Amino acid sequence: MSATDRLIPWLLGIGSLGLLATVYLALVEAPPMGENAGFTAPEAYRILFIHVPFAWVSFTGFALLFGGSLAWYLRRSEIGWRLGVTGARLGLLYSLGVLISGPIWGAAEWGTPWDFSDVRLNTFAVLAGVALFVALGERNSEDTAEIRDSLSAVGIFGFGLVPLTYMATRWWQERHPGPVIGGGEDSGVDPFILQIWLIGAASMQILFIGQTLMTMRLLRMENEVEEMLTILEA
Amino acid sequence: MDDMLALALAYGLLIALLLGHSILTALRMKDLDARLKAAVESMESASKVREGSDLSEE
Repeated sequence: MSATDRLIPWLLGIGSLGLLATVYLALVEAPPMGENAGFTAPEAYRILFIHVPFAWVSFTGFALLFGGSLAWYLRRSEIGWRLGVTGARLGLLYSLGVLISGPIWGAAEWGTPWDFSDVRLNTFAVLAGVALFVALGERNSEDTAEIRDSLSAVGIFGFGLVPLTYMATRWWQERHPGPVIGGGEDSGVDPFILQIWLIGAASMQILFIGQTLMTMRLLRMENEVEEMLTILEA
Repeated sequence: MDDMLALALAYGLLIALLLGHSILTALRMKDLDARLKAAVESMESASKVREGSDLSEE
Protein backbone atom coordinates (compact mmCIF):
# COMPACT_ATOMS: atom_id res chain seq x y z
CA MET A 1 0.00 0.00 0.00
CA SER A 2 1.45 3.39 -1.00
CA ALA A 3 1.73 6.44 1.31
CA THR A 4 -1.21 8.17 -0.41
CA ASP A 5 -3.35 5.01 -0.02
CA ARG A 6 -2.62 5.06 3.72
CA LEU A 7 -3.92 8.66 3.88
CA ILE A 8 -7.36 7.69 2.52
CA PRO A 9 -9.03 6.47 5.76
CA TRP A 10 -7.67 9.50 7.65
CA LEU A 11 -8.99 11.96 5.10
CA LEU A 12 -12.38 10.22 4.93
CA GLY A 13 -12.58 10.09 8.75
CA ILE A 14 -11.60 13.74 9.33
CA GLY A 15 -13.89 14.92 6.53
CA SER A 16 -16.85 12.92 7.87
CA LEU A 17 -16.31 14.20 11.43
CA GLY A 18 -16.14 17.79 10.16
CA LEU A 19 -19.32 17.21 8.21
CA LEU A 20 -21.08 15.86 11.31
CA ALA A 21 -19.95 18.99 13.19
CA THR A 22 -21.35 21.14 10.37
CA VAL A 23 -24.72 19.34 10.55
CA TYR A 24 -24.79 19.89 14.34
CA LEU A 25 -23.94 23.61 13.98
CA ALA A 26 -26.50 24.03 11.19
CA LEU A 27 -29.37 22.24 12.93
CA VAL A 28 -28.74 23.17 16.57
CA GLU A 29 -26.52 26.23 16.96
CA ALA A 30 -27.58 28.42 14.02
CA PRO A 31 -30.51 30.72 14.89
CA PRO A 32 -33.84 30.45 12.99
CA MET A 33 -34.35 33.09 10.30
CA GLY A 34 -37.74 34.74 10.28
CA GLU A 35 -39.42 37.11 7.83
CA ASN A 36 -37.40 40.02 9.22
CA ALA A 37 -34.31 38.36 7.73
CA GLY A 38 -36.04 37.97 4.37
CA PHE A 39 -36.94 34.26 4.65
CA THR A 40 -40.46 32.83 4.40
CA ALA A 41 -39.31 29.34 5.56
CA PRO A 42 -37.44 30.06 8.83
CA GLU A 43 -36.17 26.49 9.40
CA ALA A 44 -35.63 25.23 5.83
CA TYR A 45 -32.94 27.91 5.36
CA ARG A 46 -30.67 25.53 7.35
CA ILE A 47 -30.49 23.42 4.17
CA LEU A 48 -28.22 26.16 2.77
CA PHE A 49 -25.52 25.28 5.33
CA ILE A 50 -24.91 22.07 3.44
CA HIS A 51 -26.19 23.08 -0.03
CA VAL A 52 -23.54 25.80 -0.42
CA PRO A 53 -20.51 23.61 0.55
CA PHE A 54 -21.82 20.88 -1.79
CA ALA A 55 -21.91 23.47 -4.61
CA TRP A 56 -18.40 24.83 -3.85
CA VAL A 57 -16.89 21.32 -3.74
CA SER A 58 -18.69 20.24 -6.93
CA PHE A 59 -16.63 22.89 -8.75
CA THR A 60 -13.45 21.14 -7.57
CA GLY A 61 -14.83 18.03 -9.30
CA PHE A 62 -15.46 19.98 -12.52
CA ALA A 63 -11.93 21.46 -12.30
CA LEU A 64 -10.46 17.92 -11.95
CA LEU A 65 -12.53 16.79 -14.94
CA PHE A 66 -11.19 19.74 -16.98
CA GLY A 67 -7.53 19.37 -15.91
CA GLY A 68 -7.54 15.59 -16.31
CA SER A 69 -9.24 15.74 -19.72
CA LEU A 70 -6.73 18.35 -20.89
CA ALA A 71 -3.80 16.21 -19.65
CA TRP A 72 -5.17 13.19 -21.56
CA TYR A 73 -5.93 15.18 -24.72
CA LEU A 74 -2.59 17.01 -24.92
CA ARG A 75 -0.14 14.53 -23.36
CA ARG A 76 -1.92 11.16 -23.43
CA SER A 77 -1.36 11.07 -19.66
CA GLU A 78 -2.83 7.94 -18.02
CA ILE A 79 -2.99 9.69 -14.64
CA GLY A 80 -4.65 12.64 -16.37
CA TRP A 81 -7.36 10.32 -17.75
CA ARG A 82 -7.95 8.79 -14.31
CA LEU A 83 -8.13 12.28 -12.76
CA GLY A 84 -10.68 13.32 -15.38
CA VAL A 85 -12.87 10.26 -14.72
CA THR A 86 -12.55 10.84 -10.95
CA GLY A 87 -13.56 14.48 -11.45
CA ALA A 88 -16.60 13.40 -13.48
CA ARG A 89 -17.73 10.83 -10.89
CA LEU A 90 -17.23 13.11 -7.89
CA GLY A 91 -18.47 16.22 -9.73
CA LEU A 92 -21.64 14.23 -10.41
CA LEU A 93 -21.94 13.12 -6.77
CA TYR A 94 -21.60 16.65 -5.36
CA SER A 95 -23.74 18.29 -8.04
CA LEU A 96 -26.45 15.71 -7.28
CA GLY A 97 -26.25 16.94 -3.66
CA VAL A 98 -26.83 20.49 -4.93
CA LEU A 99 -29.67 19.43 -7.24
CA ILE A 100 -31.41 17.48 -4.46
CA SER A 101 -31.11 20.10 -1.70
CA GLY A 102 -31.69 23.21 -3.87
CA PRO A 103 -35.16 22.33 -5.21
CA ILE A 104 -36.30 21.13 -1.75
CA TRP A 105 -35.30 24.49 -0.26
CA GLY A 106 -36.87 26.27 -3.27
CA ALA A 107 -40.14 24.39 -2.74
CA ALA A 108 -40.26 25.58 0.90
CA GLU A 109 -38.94 29.13 0.36
CA TRP A 110 -40.18 30.12 -3.13
CA GLY A 111 -43.17 27.78 -3.40
CA THR A 112 -41.63 26.16 -6.50
CA PRO A 113 -38.70 23.73 -6.78
CA TRP A 114 -37.33 25.04 -10.09
CA ASP A 115 -37.35 28.16 -12.25
CA PHE A 116 -36.54 27.59 -15.92
CA SER A 117 -35.95 31.32 -16.44
CA ASP A 118 -33.09 31.39 -13.88
CA VAL A 119 -29.74 31.05 -15.66
CA ARG A 120 -27.78 29.90 -12.57
CA LEU A 121 -30.11 26.96 -11.93
CA ASN A 122 -30.10 25.85 -15.56
CA THR A 123 -26.36 26.17 -16.31
CA PHE A 124 -25.58 24.22 -13.12
CA ALA A 125 -28.00 21.47 -14.15
CA VAL A 126 -26.29 21.25 -17.57
CA LEU A 127 -22.88 21.07 -15.81
CA ALA A 128 -24.17 18.12 -13.79
CA GLY A 129 -25.34 16.64 -17.10
CA VAL A 130 -21.79 16.97 -18.51
CA ALA A 131 -20.39 15.10 -15.48
CA LEU A 132 -23.13 12.45 -15.85
CA PHE A 133 -22.35 12.00 -19.55
CA VAL A 134 -18.60 11.54 -18.97
CA ALA A 135 -19.08 9.25 -15.94
CA LEU A 136 -21.61 7.00 -17.71
CA GLY A 137 -19.73 7.14 -21.03
CA GLU A 138 -16.54 5.94 -19.37
CA ARG A 139 -18.29 3.14 -17.50
CA ASN A 140 -20.37 1.82 -20.42
CA SER A 141 -17.97 2.17 -23.37
CA GLU A 142 -14.98 0.19 -24.51
CA ASP A 143 -11.74 1.72 -23.25
CA THR A 144 -10.18 3.00 -26.48
CA ALA A 145 -8.16 6.14 -27.27
CA GLU A 146 -11.00 7.41 -29.51
CA ILE A 147 -13.61 7.08 -26.73
CA ARG A 148 -11.24 8.78 -24.29
CA ASP A 149 -10.72 11.62 -26.80
CA SER A 150 -14.47 12.14 -27.22
CA LEU A 151 -15.21 12.10 -23.48
CA SER A 152 -12.24 14.38 -22.77
CA ALA A 153 -13.51 16.85 -25.37
CA VAL A 154 -16.87 16.94 -23.56
CA GLY A 155 -15.03 17.49 -20.26
CA ILE A 156 -12.92 20.32 -21.69
CA PHE A 157 -15.72 22.21 -23.47
CA GLY A 158 -18.21 21.52 -20.68
CA PHE A 159 -15.95 23.42 -18.29
CA GLY A 160 -16.92 26.60 -20.18
CA LEU A 161 -20.16 26.47 -18.17
CA VAL A 162 -18.26 26.96 -14.88
CA PRO A 163 -17.46 30.70 -15.30
CA LEU A 164 -20.94 31.21 -16.79
CA THR A 165 -22.55 29.53 -13.75
CA TYR A 166 -20.36 31.57 -11.38
CA MET A 167 -21.22 34.89 -13.04
CA ALA A 168 -24.90 34.07 -13.70
CA THR A 169 -26.19 35.54 -10.41
CA ARG A 170 -24.14 38.70 -11.05
CA TRP A 171 -25.32 39.23 -14.63
CA TRP A 172 -28.89 37.91 -14.60
CA GLN A 173 -30.06 37.50 -11.02
CA GLU A 174 -33.61 36.11 -11.17
CA ARG A 175 -34.62 33.70 -8.41
CA HIS A 176 -31.39 32.13 -7.10
CA PRO A 177 -29.96 34.36 -4.31
CA GLY A 178 -27.20 36.74 -5.39
CA PRO A 179 -23.53 36.33 -4.40
CA VAL A 180 -22.83 36.70 -0.68
CA ILE A 181 -19.02 36.69 -0.94
CA GLY A 182 -17.27 39.11 -3.28
CA GLY A 183 -20.56 40.33 -4.69
CA GLY A 184 -20.09 44.07 -4.12
CA GLU A 185 -21.50 46.49 -1.51
CA ASP A 186 -24.93 44.81 -1.27
CA SER A 187 -23.48 41.37 -0.58
CA GLY A 188 -22.36 39.91 2.75
CA VAL A 189 -23.44 37.38 5.31
CA ASP A 190 -23.64 37.05 9.10
CA PRO A 191 -20.15 36.05 10.42
CA PHE A 192 -21.56 33.00 12.28
CA ILE A 193 -23.30 31.72 9.15
CA LEU A 194 -20.11 32.28 7.14
CA GLN A 195 -18.15 30.37 9.81
CA ILE A 196 -20.48 27.33 9.49
CA TRP A 197 -20.22 27.48 5.69
CA LEU A 198 -16.43 27.57 5.86
CA ILE A 199 -16.27 24.64 8.33
CA GLY A 200 -18.66 22.71 6.05
CA ALA A 201 -16.68 23.55 2.91
CA ALA A 202 -13.31 22.66 4.50
CA SER A 203 -14.68 19.34 5.83
CA MET A 204 -16.27 18.46 2.53
CA GLN A 205 -13.07 19.38 0.68
CA ILE A 206 -11.07 17.01 2.92
CA LEU A 207 -13.69 14.31 2.30
CA PHE A 208 -13.46 15.04 -1.44
CA ILE A 209 -9.65 14.62 -1.43
CA GLY A 210 -10.06 11.25 0.34
CA GLN A 211 -12.72 10.21 -2.18
CA THR A 212 -10.47 11.36 -5.05
CA LEU A 213 -7.57 9.19 -3.83
CA MET A 214 -9.94 6.26 -3.28
CA THR A 215 -11.47 6.58 -6.78
CA MET A 216 -8.00 6.86 -8.34
CA ARG A 217 -7.02 3.65 -6.52
CA LEU A 218 -10.20 1.97 -7.73
CA LEU A 219 -9.46 2.94 -11.34
CA ARG A 220 -5.87 1.69 -10.97
CA MET A 221 -7.17 -1.65 -9.67
CA GLU A 222 -9.69 -1.89 -12.54
CA ASN A 223 -6.80 -1.34 -14.96
CA GLU A 224 -4.66 -4.02 -13.27
CA VAL A 225 -7.51 -6.55 -13.43
CA GLU A 226 -8.06 -5.78 -17.14
CA GLU A 227 -4.34 -6.18 -17.91
CA MET A 228 -4.13 -9.51 -16.07
CA LEU A 229 -7.25 -10.85 -17.82
CA THR A 230 -5.74 -9.85 -21.20
CA ILE A 231 -2.50 -11.73 -20.34
CA LEU A 232 -4.47 -14.80 -19.19
CA GLU A 233 -6.59 -14.84 -22.34
CA ALA A 234 -3.49 -14.57 -24.59
CA MET B 1 -43.63 22.47 1.00
CA ASP B 2 -43.75 22.41 4.79
CA ASP B 3 -40.76 24.14 6.43
CA MET B 4 -39.69 21.28 8.75
CA LEU B 5 -40.49 18.55 6.19
CA ALA B 6 -38.17 20.24 3.68
CA LEU B 7 -35.37 20.44 6.25
CA ALA B 8 -35.69 16.76 7.26
CA LEU B 9 -36.04 15.56 3.65
CA ALA B 10 -33.00 17.50 2.41
CA TYR B 11 -30.68 16.38 5.22
CA GLY B 12 -31.95 12.78 5.04
CA LEU B 13 -31.41 12.57 1.27
CA LEU B 14 -27.95 14.20 1.40
CA ILE B 15 -26.74 11.88 4.15
CA ALA B 16 -28.17 8.90 2.20
CA LEU B 17 -26.37 10.13 -0.94
CA LEU B 18 -22.96 10.33 0.77
CA LEU B 19 -23.44 7.06 2.66
CA GLY B 20 -24.72 5.29 -0.45
CA HIS B 21 -21.69 6.43 -2.44
CA SER B 22 -19.31 5.24 0.30
CA ILE B 23 -21.01 1.82 0.53
CA LEU B 24 -21.03 1.32 -3.26
CA THR B 25 -17.35 2.34 -3.52
CA ALA B 26 -16.37 -0.02 -0.67
CA LEU B 27 -18.28 -2.91 -2.31
CA ARG B 28 -16.66 -2.19 -5.69
CA MET B 29 -13.22 -2.13 -4.03
CA LYS B 30 -13.90 -5.47 -2.30
CA ASP B 31 -15.06 -7.01 -5.60
CA LEU B 32 -11.97 -5.74 -7.46
CA ASP B 33 -9.70 -6.99 -4.70
CA ALA B 34 -11.22 -10.49 -5.02
CA ARG B 35 -10.91 -10.41 -8.83
CA LEU B 36 -7.28 -9.27 -8.57
CA LYS B 37 -6.46 -12.13 -6.17
CA ALA B 38 -8.22 -14.66 -8.44
CA ALA B 39 -6.34 -13.35 -11.50
CA VAL B 40 -2.99 -13.58 -9.67
CA GLU B 41 -3.77 -17.18 -8.60
CA SER B 42 -4.78 -18.12 -12.18
CA MET B 43 -1.54 -16.62 -13.51
CA GLU B 44 0.50 -18.56 -10.91
CA SER B 45 -1.22 -21.88 -11.68
CA ALA B 46 -0.87 -21.24 -15.45
CA SER B 47 2.88 -20.64 -15.06
CA LYS B 48 3.21 -23.83 -12.93
CA VAL B 49 1.42 -25.87 -15.65
CA ARG B 50 3.74 -24.32 -18.27
CA GLU B 51 6.83 -25.16 -16.17
CA GLY B 52 5.58 -28.76 -15.73
CA SER B 53 5.03 -29.27 -19.46
CA ASP B 54 8.48 -27.76 -20.22
CA LEU B 55 10.10 -30.27 -17.83
CA SER B 56 8.23 -33.26 -19.30
CA GLU B 57 9.31 -32.21 -22.83
CA GLU B 58 12.97 -32.22 -21.67
